[in-house]
Amino acid sequence: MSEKLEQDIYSAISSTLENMAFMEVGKEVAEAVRYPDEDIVVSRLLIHDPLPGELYLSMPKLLLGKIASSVYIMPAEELSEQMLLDMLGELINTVAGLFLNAYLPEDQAYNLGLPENVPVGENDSPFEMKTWDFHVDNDLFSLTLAGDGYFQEEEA
Amino acid sequence: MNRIVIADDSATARMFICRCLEIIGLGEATLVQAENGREALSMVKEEETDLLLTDLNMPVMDGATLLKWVKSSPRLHDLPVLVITSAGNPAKEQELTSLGAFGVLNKPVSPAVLMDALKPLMS
Repeated sequence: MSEKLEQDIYSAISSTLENMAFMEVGKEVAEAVRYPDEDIVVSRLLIHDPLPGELYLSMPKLLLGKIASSVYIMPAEELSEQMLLDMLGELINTVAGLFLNAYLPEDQAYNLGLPENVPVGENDSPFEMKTWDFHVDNDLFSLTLAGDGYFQEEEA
Repeated sequence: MNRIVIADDSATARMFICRCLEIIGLGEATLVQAENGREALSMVKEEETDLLLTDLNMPVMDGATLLKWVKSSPRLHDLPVLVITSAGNPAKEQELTSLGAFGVLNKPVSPAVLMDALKPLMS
């Protein structure tokens, strides 16, 4: 796994949450709380080109509620399910842009799809993939990148 | 500014941009929200608008198409269009600027960055 890929993924997710919700993302997840599937929501975003792939962002509803509460400046209990899912979509959209801007050459154009919510466990991408676990406030969440072109260095 | 149209398919993004506009002192303008480019086009046509903020990736009509429509309309040609996108980089910025975009900002946008971008339009 290239160090740059690792660094760009972490930088994208930490910048997104810090800038949107003033939340710090941690990489040490040994002590973090792992939530059961029924408490998790997942959003998927297709990367059309130049390197086809997919990003999946899986988050516990509780954490998503904290993030949305910070962004909307509303108590978490007043946020609708739709607002939470929309928040998740905007997060993955922003993460994807920051990641590709950092990972690809500066003048390289790229095209993204639209975020879509998918059931937990449906990240069975046909591409090679890697999942990174992070935490915010000790709540574990994960980001998965799928796409053969992103892992070529490792194969070589 | 009296009227600002914000086009983004994400309600979160629209709310976030509205919040930034309020923070930089544009909260007294009428902030009109559209879920896609087509809706935004209708909104800028129906009433005089001072600024259009648009995302790029949207269903129905994307931001680049919206920009082309606005810039090809004699009535709307002078409307400043600021693109706020997660898919922006120097290549995309150059492409959008050549289409007539007033500016291109990357998400997540912040009040300071928005203020800086809009400074030439603010009296």
